[in-house]
This record gives sequence, C-alpha cells and structure tokens, in this order.
Amino acid sequence: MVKNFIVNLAYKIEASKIHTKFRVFLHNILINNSSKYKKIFDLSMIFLVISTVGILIYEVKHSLPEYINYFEYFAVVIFILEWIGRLIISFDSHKQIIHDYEESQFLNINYNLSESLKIITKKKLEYIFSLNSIIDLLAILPSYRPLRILRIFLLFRLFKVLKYSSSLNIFTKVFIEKKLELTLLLLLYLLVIFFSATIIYIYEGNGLNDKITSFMDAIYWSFITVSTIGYGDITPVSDAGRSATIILILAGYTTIAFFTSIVTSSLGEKLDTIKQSSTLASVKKLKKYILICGYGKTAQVLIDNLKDNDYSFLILENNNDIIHKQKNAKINIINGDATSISLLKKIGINKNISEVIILTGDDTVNLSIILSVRSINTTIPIVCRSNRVKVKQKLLLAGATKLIELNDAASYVALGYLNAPIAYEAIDDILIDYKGAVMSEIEIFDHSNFINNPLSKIEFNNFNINFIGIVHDNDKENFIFNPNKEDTILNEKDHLIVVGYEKTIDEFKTYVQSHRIEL
Amino acid sequence: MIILFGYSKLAAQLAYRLKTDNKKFCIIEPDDHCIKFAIADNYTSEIYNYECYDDKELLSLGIDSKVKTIFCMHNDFNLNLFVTLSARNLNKNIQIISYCKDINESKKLKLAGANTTINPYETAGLKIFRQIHKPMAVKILDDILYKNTPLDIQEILITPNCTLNGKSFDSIDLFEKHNLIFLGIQDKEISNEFIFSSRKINHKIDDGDVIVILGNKTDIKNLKKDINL
Repeated sequence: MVKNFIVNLAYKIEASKIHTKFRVFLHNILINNSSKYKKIFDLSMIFLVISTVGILIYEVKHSLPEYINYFEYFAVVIFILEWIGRLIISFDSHKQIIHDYEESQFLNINYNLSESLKIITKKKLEYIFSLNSIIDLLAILPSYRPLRILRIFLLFRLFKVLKYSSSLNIFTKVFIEKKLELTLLLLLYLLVIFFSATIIYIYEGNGLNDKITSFMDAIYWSFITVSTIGYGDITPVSDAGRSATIILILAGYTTIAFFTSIVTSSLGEKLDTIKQSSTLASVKKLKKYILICGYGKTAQVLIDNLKDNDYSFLILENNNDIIHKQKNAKINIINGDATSISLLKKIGINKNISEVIILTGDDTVNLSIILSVRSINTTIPIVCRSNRVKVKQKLLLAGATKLIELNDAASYVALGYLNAPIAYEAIDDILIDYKGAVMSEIEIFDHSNFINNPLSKIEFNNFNINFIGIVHDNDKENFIFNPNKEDTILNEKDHLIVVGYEKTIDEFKTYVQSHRIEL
Repeated sequence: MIILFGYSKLAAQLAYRLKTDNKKFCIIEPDDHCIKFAIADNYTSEIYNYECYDDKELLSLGIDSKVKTIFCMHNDFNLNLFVTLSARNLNKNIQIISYCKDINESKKLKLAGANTTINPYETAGLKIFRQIHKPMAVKILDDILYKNTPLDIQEILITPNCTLNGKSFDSIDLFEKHNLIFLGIQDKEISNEFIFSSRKINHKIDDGDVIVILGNKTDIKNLKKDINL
C-alpha cells in the first residue's frame, strides 16, 4: 500500500512540469556556471556572509539594535534554504525509485522499496557529510541559541565565500591536488616542532628558564622560532637549548621553502587553466563567433583579416610554443586538442558558433576533428583544409561542408594572374577592401518601400557605384547579371550586388535601407 | 609560351590547370628526383633538367623572345629568387609569377623582379576569410573567373587606332549600350595602380591604357568590334 503510493508519487513527480521547472531553477542558481542567475545569487550570498561576519565584529564593542537580529535570522534562513536546495539537487530520489521499480518489473520480481530507500539515504548522507555541506552547516549551526558558545564558528561562513568564487576554488584545488606533499610536509613540521619543544622542555623546563613553565610554553616557543617569526618573549638560556634553536631554525627555513615551492609551482601550473577558463567564459558570452582549429600560417592570415573586420573567434591549438608567442596578441586562444570530444563539448558546439574552420597540416588530424565536431553537432558548417588531393573524398565523407586545398587555391590565383593580371588584381582589391573599392551585398529588408516594385525605382545614377546584379532570395544559387531594371521586381531579402568605394556604398546602403514603410 | 620552373606540389596543380586550359608550357626541374614526378604525371610538354645557373639554358628556351610568362614554383626559395632575377635580367617585359612562403620572401622576390608572388598559405587564409565576409561576392566572382559562365571579366588594351583612344570616361555611352559594366582603368601615364570607375574621376583614355569590363562574353566581343579592336 505504502509502496504503491510512493511509486505512484515518484511517477507523478517525474511527470510534473512544476517540479522540472523547480529543478532547472535550482540548477541554474546553484550549479550552472554559465547562468546569469547563479552570478546574481553568488554575489548576494557573498554579501550576506560578509555582512553577518561584519556584524559579529561590530558586536564585540557595541550593542546592536533589534533589527540587526532580524537580518541575522534572514541570513540564516537563506543559508538553510540554500543548503536544502543543494541537498535536493544532489540526487534525484524519485528517479532512483522509478529506475528500481521498472527494473523489478522487467525482471518480473517483487519490487523492494527498502532497497531504493537505502540507496537514496546513502546518497543523501554522502552529500550531507561532504566538505561543501559541512561548510554550509557550520555557517548555520552557531546561530542556534543553545549553541551560541560556538559563535566563533560563524567565521566558517567566510569559507562559503570561497565556494562562490571560481578563482578561489582553483586555489583550494591546489591544496587538494598536492595533498600528499603538503601532508608529508606538515607531519615533518610538526615533528620538528615537537622534537625541539621536547628538547627545550627537558633542558630548561626544570626551572632553569623561568619563561618555560609548561610543555605548552615549549611548543609555543618552538612554533614561533620555526616559523622564523621569533618574538623573543621566550629565549633559550642553556647551550643545549641554543643548539636545539639552531637546528630548529634550519629546519624551519627548509620547510617554509618546500611549502612555498609546492604551492607556487602548483599555482603556476593552474594559472594556464585559470586563463583558459576565463578565455572560455568570455567567448561563451559572445552571440556569434568562429571556431578555428590549428594556428599556422593560413590561420594567421585568416585571423589578421577577421580581427581587422571585428569578427569574434576562438582558436584551439595544442602546441604550447605557438600559444606562448600569442600571449600578448589579445586573441582568444585555448591550449587544447581539437580532436577531443570532451573539450569540444566544454566549448559547446552550438548555435553561437557560426562555423568551424579546421586548418592543421595533418589530414588525419583534420578528419578526426571533423568527426568530433559532427558527433556533437550535425548541422554546423565545417570548412576544412585538405593537404592531399586523395583525401578530399574522405574529409567530405566525414562531414566537412567545404574543403580548401592550399595548392589548389594558389594555382587558381596563379592562373588568374596569367590570364588577366590587371583584372585579377582589381578583383583582389574588391574582395579585400584594401584600396577602398569594395564589392558589397545590400539586402532589401522587410518593410522596404522597394518591395514589389521594379528595380528601376532605385536611383542608382545618383550614386557613384556600379550595379553588378541581383541575387533573389528564392533562388540564391543564381546570380542575375545586370538585369533589365524595368522587368525585375524586388522582393524581401533580395541582395543587390554593387561595386564602388566604401563611402559611396555606405551612402547607397543607407539610401536603400532607409526607404521603409512608416509603421 | 610559358615556362614552369620547379615541379613542386603547387607546380603540379598549376601544370594540370594549364593543360586543362590548353596552354602551351614547358617544365624546368633541376632536381633529378622531382623530375620523375613530372614525367610520371605524363605531360606531353617538354621537360628540361636544367639548373639555370647559366643564362644560356634559359635563352635556349627563348626567354628573351617567345616566352611571355615564367612561373618560379620551386620549393627552394633561393633557387626561385635566382631564376626570378635571371629572367627579369634577360627580359624586361616578361611576366614573372613566383612562389613564396611568407611576406619577407615575397618582398625579396619582388625586388628581384617578380610581378606577382603567390603565397598558398595567404591565398587559402584569404579565401576562407572572404567566404565568411562576403560569401555572395566571392561566389559570383569565382563563377565569373573560373566556371564556364557566359559572364567574363576582361581587360582590353587600348591601341592607337581604337575609337576610345583620346576620349574621356563621361563621353562614353558604349558600355551601357552593350550592357557591360566598366570596372575601371589602369593608366600607364599616372601609375600602375588600378582606378575604379566608381571613383568618377573624369579621365582621358589613351593608347597603352588597359580598361577592365564585366559582362557577357558575346557583348564584350561586340564592344571590341565597335571600338575597332
């Protein structure tokens, strides 16, 4: 009876739209780093933590007005809600029940609810005793009146701040990754302290040194000395004590040096990761950008031109030397293997990327990148460099939309110069916009006055431009050269192709696109 | 006649295109190893195993007379540079198109006398960029230049007895009459720079100038007839 009720409930929860929305909401404010809500949430949490700790400090010498207490309650309620939210989202209980139930149905055995509950309890307990949850709990518990004595633990709230800042997270990661080294070092440190404290206590604790009356004094002295702070409130007076001090200082220096080098080297390693994640984060904010895999000579030309024309792009390159050369160039570059599906997933091959351009010199690598991209996104345009004629077919088979072969493209250009050098150079100028003459595509927007009117309505003669032809929206493949202006009727999204100087084209464009039906 | 110096991968592609275009050309390859590729690709054109250190070799092929264009496409940059300089030295009017790998090589080759340098990395990079930046324009121009469309871009050299000789831009309504687009002019008197017609400088056309027009092949033919060429 209870079993049936719970299983039914699980299915109801699964089907409930409100529940799904609620979970997505929780996910967005608590976990999803790219969500803007999380940013707002994190910032307000940091504010709450810092203000409550600030109150704690203020309270020492001042009496507080009543409303401050309410603020404290409010903060604690928020902390509790947050903790509950995290607990809920840590594991999908109803899914576990459904999964177990369906499995038992499939295997035709009796469904055992207690098994599912066991797993759920275990998972939830795992979360409760995780570091994250303990930090949260420590921030909440001292507010409970009977535990007021533990008020100092309110400082643990500061640890919560760490949780909301990803850069600080990396700092804690350093400590976690170097756990073994740091633990060994700490043990060594403690050993040295204990060792020298024992020596000084044995030799001077017997009344010889009136400052050392207990073992705690000896430990305190040892710690102050080994850390090279040396207050000098306790100093050794016997030869044995001084010898112990010398050893202690030497050991102190060594351990500090070790500690510093472990942390700095590890932080240095992480610095690239920090930089990369910030690059990735800034690129992800872009509405539209181009992904370029492989940074070679061809990519350099492409990138220079893209930069000049204000396109956004992200480069993936796995050669560290190349990346270090570009350090100061202010371009978005990430050190990574573009063939890796997990890296591409992290970047997110989605609608924000207008196209993927693959330019490495190795065809097998290019093939692998194409397949990796296609495994995530089947429609995105992929332009790929092919280095051998024979592999073209395979690159297309893998899913490249357009291929570019270096020698092929160059031989076309060479032939162009052979046949008509002046015309070819002129065309080159038109396409690169070097000397100001450009070929431009001007779109007829919706609500334009020219729609359903003949082309002759556009007063080309008032502008210093050459009208070359038109591409109709319903027949994009066909360019119509210099059509009869009386017979050609304009439609929405048609493109006029014109050649001229940048300034005059801009004037013409404004003229065409400002002729709109007033709404 | 066209000389193709060096049989690199790029040269192999170029040879293929020249053959498809029914152009007459010969291949010079100093390296015994590379020459095998040229022979294997089975061109009926002549293949010479010249080192080109001696001008006599180039002269024997008629570099100072019947050769109109030389492609210096060898993989070895210094060899290309050497042949570029030799060719320019032997013939002031020859068209030299040389292969380079970066901008510094390009500068040196131009100093040695090359008219044009081809950098495959650059052309590929630019091609991709243009396809992003102006997909339609690129497609149209590509079609006009390389595909067998009725459209063509042609350059017309103005001869002394051409009817356009001595006329100014404004007074010409011939282009409209033939449904052609007059793109611009290269004026020998002013500079070698190409001037687009859309700049609307009223300019006098003289013999020796080259005008560039865009339009249907048959229309261009008719225009040429009309202006006495």
